[in-house]
Amino acid sequence: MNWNEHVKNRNAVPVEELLPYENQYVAWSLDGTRILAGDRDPLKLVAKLTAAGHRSDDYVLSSVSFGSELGVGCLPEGPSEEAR
Amino acid sequence: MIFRYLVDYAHVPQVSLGGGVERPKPVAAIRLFGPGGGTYVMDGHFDTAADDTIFPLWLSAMIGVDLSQAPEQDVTLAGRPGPVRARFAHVELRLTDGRETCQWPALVGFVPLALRRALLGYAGCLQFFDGEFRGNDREAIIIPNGAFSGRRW
Repeated sequence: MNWNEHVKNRNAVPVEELLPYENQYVAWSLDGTRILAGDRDPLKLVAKLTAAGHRSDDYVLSSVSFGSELGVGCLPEGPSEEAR
Repeated sequence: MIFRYLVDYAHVPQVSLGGGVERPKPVAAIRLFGPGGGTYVMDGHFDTAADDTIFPLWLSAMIGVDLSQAPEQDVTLAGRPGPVRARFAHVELRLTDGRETCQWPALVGFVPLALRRALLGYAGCLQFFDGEFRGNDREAIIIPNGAFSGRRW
């Protein structure tokens, strides 16, 4: 994938299109033009993508958050991963 | 390799940015390969202040890494109230800007936190690269150094 093309497109996506995915993991299309799917649970997200016919090579996993960070932050607490 | 900065946004004007809402960050897509060939690509944040390269635990199962006998160590992540237990495993990592690709073996940690992105720190990642962070141009230049023993193409 061409990261710089991906980011150029991704940076151009209006914030309004990101708002529905706030505090979720998301999968971006390889060209960075759109979010394929989102979910608070990354495993459910990947299940959705697989069910839709996407292979793991077809997207970039990311997340949407509008908070300030010092270093890499975390999404708000959900069910413990250890409990899954 | 040249990585254009990814822009995050804030809901409210940021004091430190003079009221701006854009938060540019040195992020690249990092591909993670498990021992059985399972692979996913995730945003990874270059962080020269991070000692280790860290991924969320959920990703380990998806790429088929067995952490049942993995060595463990506490790591402290920015913004967390206390240390968190990381389990370490050997994986392969790949970075590409679309023109050049680097792939190398790395010992990385997995933590049971909902990390927004992978943390690309010294051990496992930045130890193998020299970097220039060009704030005004909003791009990071990452070049394999003498310690890099992986493959380039």
